[in-house]
Amino acid sequence: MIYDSVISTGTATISGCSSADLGTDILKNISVPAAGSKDEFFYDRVLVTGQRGIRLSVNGQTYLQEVPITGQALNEVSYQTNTGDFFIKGIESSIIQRSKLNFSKDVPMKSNYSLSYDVVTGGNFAATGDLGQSLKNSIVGGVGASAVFDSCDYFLNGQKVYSGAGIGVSAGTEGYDFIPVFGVGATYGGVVTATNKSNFTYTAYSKRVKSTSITGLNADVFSETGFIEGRTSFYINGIEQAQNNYLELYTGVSIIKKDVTSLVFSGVSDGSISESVTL
Amino acid sequence: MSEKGIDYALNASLGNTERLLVFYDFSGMSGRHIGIGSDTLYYPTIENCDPAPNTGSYSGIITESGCTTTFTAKLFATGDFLINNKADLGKSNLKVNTPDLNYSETSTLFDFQFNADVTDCVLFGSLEKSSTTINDEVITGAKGYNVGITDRGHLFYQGFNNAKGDFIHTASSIELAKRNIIGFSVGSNSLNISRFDYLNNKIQTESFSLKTDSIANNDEFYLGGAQQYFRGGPAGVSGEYKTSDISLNSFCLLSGYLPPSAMFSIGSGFVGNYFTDAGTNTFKREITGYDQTIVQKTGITGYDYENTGSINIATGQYMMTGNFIGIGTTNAEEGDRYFVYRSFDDALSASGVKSFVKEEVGYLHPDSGYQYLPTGDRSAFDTLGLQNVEGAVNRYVEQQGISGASTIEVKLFGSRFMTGILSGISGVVQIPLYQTVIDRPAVPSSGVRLNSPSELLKKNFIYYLGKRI
Repeated sequence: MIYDSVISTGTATISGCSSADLGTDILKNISVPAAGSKDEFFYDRVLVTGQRGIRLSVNGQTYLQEVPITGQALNEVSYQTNTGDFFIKGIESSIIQRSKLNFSKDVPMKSNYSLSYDVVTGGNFAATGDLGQSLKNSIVGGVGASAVFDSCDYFLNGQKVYSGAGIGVSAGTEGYDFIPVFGVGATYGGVVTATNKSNFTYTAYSKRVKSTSITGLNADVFSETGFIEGRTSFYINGIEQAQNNYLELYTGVSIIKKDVTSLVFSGVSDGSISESVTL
Repeated sequence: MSEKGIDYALNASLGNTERLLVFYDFSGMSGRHIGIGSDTLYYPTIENCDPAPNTGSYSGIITESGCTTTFTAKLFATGDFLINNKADLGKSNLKVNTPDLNYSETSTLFDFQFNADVTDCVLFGSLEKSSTTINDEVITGAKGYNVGITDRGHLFYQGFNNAKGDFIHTASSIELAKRNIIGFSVGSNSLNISRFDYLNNKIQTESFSLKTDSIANNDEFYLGGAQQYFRGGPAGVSGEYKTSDISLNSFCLLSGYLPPSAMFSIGSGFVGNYFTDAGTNTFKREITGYDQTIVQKTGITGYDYENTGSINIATGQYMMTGNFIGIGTTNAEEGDRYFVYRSFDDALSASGVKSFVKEEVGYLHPDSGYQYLPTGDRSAFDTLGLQNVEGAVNRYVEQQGISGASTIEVKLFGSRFMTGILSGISGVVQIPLYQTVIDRPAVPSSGVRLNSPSELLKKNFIYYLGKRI
């Protein structure tokens, strides 16, 4: 099991942790639940601007957003996507339609799925059809020559991968030199081969500002720097977990206390009569 | 210092500080005055601070500091209890006498931090239960309430309802950090337990129903412990229990129930720094009038003539010129004819043309006395009676010629107009007059700036539930 915690460390001052200027005012931008109604899901247009600002988690799998290609027909606008899993409509649509998440037909989606999304800045980068070379081109095209391998989080068909466990880098790690490779081998730890490469879509997202990742084999993570409550993401084997699957605590909390007698019947509430109360 | 911050926050939220009963700001406290109370021992007291209106009341007694001398008592207060601008409640509880406090209508704010790991403790302890047997029936009552932290790191409220017994409310959705600003409000049959997350500008709160009319008043409360219940150690000198391993940055107790939103605003004074800014005027130049200048017409006022040169004008004819030059004398008798020469005046000579005239005259001797003795002869000589005497007369030779100057020079004069101011008015020149005035006056501002360190307010542990669920 690979456990990965992405934590926002913020700044050294209180006000700096909620500063829009410092890019730390992103509380509302992480793990925002997608409102659902029947088979339709909607996002908050106040939080998201543009058509590439959503990193959608569907049951933990990260879906790729794509800006659709539009076509004009009589009384109808057609939309087409290539590698993306979903898209949102632009100003050619009504406000209600613009707030809706539209999924590609081959993407599994049911009304009982759990959807949440992060609002991302810097866009997403996607590629397919090779072992990763085209993803590098996409990243460099979007970020420029300053792009480095470590500046992005990488996903393979929506599952987050890690260096040596799904992805590796060849030809250097900085600037134009690096090439992300999703191939097999000890260096990369990936699953993509020349024969199955057309089955995979690679995506990369710029890492969240003032954040850090702690990746390892232990689920429980201690951070020396500390982190801001609520501004965390937690992955297990690349699948994002709901925020209620983990606790954000301060050191030393006794989760389980042994050998303590207690009297519990639907909780000890106001109105209960008891001889003793043990905390 | 949060003193000014609290003052500002209270005025901003409540309009005044009247409801602030107790305020302890331990920042810099060790350098301030510490009172000493005495019983059989001396006890240092933390005095109620500004902006609380009644700073003479609600002093906090450091219960573990009882010493036989004031010196050692103060030494404990400033050396052990007040550490790093915080009150170490692990060293002693603070006991506050509250003879007039209505416990059923209070709001309390804590700014505390764990000294080490999370441990269970009482933050605010006033719950005291007592029983009386009347007609073999045990009647139990209680006063006050406790608020504290469980081992699990959750805030709890412990009370006693004389109709239904002991109860505990736990705010299980609120997870604490190392440093926490928490509040609890009791009143109007409700209880709010809140943690104020200033990093996210968010209030974490849980509300409970509470039968507040069952809360009797206590004469005292403890910070860091309680008289009864939640005993974590041996009884102190007054029977209270030191249970906490926390340090207190600030504490305030307000009268009446305050909603979490108001508590959140007031609590910002704990973690923020008060600031004032006089603001800056912005200025502009505006036209206050015009300096008008009448402009007279200008034009030609007259003409002046000046020599601009000369021209030579041909006269069209030659002019005779000549001169006479004396060549000595000759004797002439009276009556002899000779020529007398005279030249023209200089003005004519200056023109370059000179000439002379000659007149033939007869000679008369100057010494003849001008007596003429005619002889009767017919000749003129005899007729005129001229004498036969001689005298010298001048002789001249004449030079005559024709002047070649056929032109004369004529001076030329040109006219030049003279300009000046005429009597007519051509217009008015208006020069605007400016003055610099305040465009937007400085707006003094003040508030609380949350620029305190954020480190202790952050969480540091992620605990995955999946493996245990």
